[in-house]
Amino acid sequence: MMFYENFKMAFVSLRNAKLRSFLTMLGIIIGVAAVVSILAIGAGVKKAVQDQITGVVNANAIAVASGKINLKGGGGNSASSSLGASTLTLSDIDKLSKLDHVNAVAPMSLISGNVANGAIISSSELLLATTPPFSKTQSLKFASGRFLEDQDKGQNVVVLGGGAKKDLFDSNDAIGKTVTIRSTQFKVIGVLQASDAAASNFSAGPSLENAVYLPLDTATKVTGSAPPIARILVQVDDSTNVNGVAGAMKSTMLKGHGGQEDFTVLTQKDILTTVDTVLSLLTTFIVAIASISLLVGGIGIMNIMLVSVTERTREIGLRKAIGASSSTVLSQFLIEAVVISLIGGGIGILVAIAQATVAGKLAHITPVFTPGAIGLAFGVSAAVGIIFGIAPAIKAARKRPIQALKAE
Amino acid sequence: MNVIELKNIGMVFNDRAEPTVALKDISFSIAKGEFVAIIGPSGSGKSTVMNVLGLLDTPTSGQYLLDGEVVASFQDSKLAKLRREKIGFVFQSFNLLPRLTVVQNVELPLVYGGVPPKQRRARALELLSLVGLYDRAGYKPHQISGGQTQRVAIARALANHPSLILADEPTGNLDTKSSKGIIDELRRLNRETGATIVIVTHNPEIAEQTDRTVTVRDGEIVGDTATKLAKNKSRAALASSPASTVSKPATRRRKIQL
Repeated sequence: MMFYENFKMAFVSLRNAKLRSFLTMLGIIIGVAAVVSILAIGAGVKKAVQDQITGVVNANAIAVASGKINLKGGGGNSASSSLGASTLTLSDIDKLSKLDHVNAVAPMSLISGNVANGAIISSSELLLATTPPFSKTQSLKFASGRFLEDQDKGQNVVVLGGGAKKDLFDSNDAIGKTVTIRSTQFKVIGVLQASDAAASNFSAGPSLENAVYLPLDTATKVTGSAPPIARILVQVDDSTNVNGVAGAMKSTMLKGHGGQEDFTVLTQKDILTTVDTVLSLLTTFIVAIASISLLVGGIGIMNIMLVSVTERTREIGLRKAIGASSSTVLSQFLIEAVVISLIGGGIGILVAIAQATVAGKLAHITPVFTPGAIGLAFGVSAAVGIIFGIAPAIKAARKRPIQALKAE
Repeated sequence: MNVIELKNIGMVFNDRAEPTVALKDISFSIAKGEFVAIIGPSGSGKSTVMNVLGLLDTPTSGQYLLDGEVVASFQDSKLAKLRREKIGFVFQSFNLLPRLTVVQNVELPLVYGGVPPKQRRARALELLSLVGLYDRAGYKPHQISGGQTQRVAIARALANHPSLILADEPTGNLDTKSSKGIIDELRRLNRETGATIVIVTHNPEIAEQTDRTVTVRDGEIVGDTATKLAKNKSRAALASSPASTVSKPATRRRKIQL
């Protein structure tokens, strides 16, 4: 009852000082608008990135990386996963290929060296050693020729990525031609389509479409030792089995590694989680900065409310004389502060919607307004009103009626 | 029955540079339906008496019974309730909240009393009729005259059917004609509704128009006399007709803004 009356009184006194009320609200408006629009744009970017990844990533793929990668904490890697040494073995590949629902398993090793066609050297491309099932774990598009097959085991054959082919042969046909890798001659059996996709799944960096592939056994022969396996790529028969297979893979690998988890099983979801974590971190950081303006806005409210209490001392005295108790006066001023910040919050949300929509248009991002973000904005506004309104309200409530009435 | 009973009230202000004795041993009582003036020069302690009576200040010693209830040591919320229910104030200045309309100002004590909106609007309009300002209900205080402002304040003071109306220099800011109007209004209310009214003033002419004058000087009561008017009252009362019910004014030019 009194609560409703106080609300009405708050609106009356705000209406009577329109300009001042608006200026008081400004801090809250800016703060809420900044926070809400950043959250919306952040969510929009996150969604855009997710869509892009989902488009590129093969949903049935699982990868095993060497070393333990902490996915939850923002991607802190163990030493063995970031440096060259690998804990993955060929026997892991054997065991994994025997699991149910697994269609293909392939290792991926990085070889150091250049690809050369006579005097022309292409050094920018990734040199990968793998086995024929690799082509089943990745959707590679061929410009001409074919991928490695079982018959190529131990043979000096190579599949060129689009970039390497362009570097070495320009627009001439490369199939059947010879290239040199670490002083050894290799015959080109296939050429991939050049791709401008920035990064593929499981291997941040150059695209697999632009890599140069040679058989694993041949790589062992050429380099003199078995190259460390950087990744094991697994293709599952159906995306619904991905989680099950990933679990089975983990326990199989654990057994093989003597119970030591020196590897990481990555699914598409994990990749998204990593991206999410990075984006959330960024969003949190920007929101924290924007929150400073909410703080400043709150201090503005406190300042104005304190002035208002002093200005309205006689009003407070009169109200007390005609029967308002201290708690009624307290709630009157507190509600006034909360109403100011809630209206400010409401306007701030509208400004945020306009702002994020315009910014989104310019950056080609569709901002996403979650009810959570808007709820948060209102909650924070109300909290700011209460926190910064309580001191002036207590000051008002404590005034003794007789002194308040005497005040000039 | 006595509405007010003060027994050996003393008031010392300790919050000043030197402790100041404002009231020494004040004792008097006011019966229901009385029309009393408390008179004294500036600094005599009459305002302090008024503040004690109005529960705006707590005496340092003595006993105050309001409607037979000892009220000296009540807590803030209880005092607020008593002020709301038993006392109606009319102040010298700043009587009305400038942002509210006349009728909203009259409603204010009812708001604090928790009366539902429709009932309090009806009561407020009834009170405005009583003081002849029904057609000013929707005006803001700055749109009406000083005398009218004070009459609105009187209407507001009556809102919760108080046991006591306290008027502190109610004519202090008014010209002679308006002053007379206000005193006449209070006298009429006293006669017609039986309200107990206490006026605090420094002006003997105002005091003469009441029934009884309590004179305060240097924090003590130095006189408590019936005025001439009161002495003639019994005769006058016999001559006049019984108190009539208040009629609503004929004019309702301005539509009331709700």
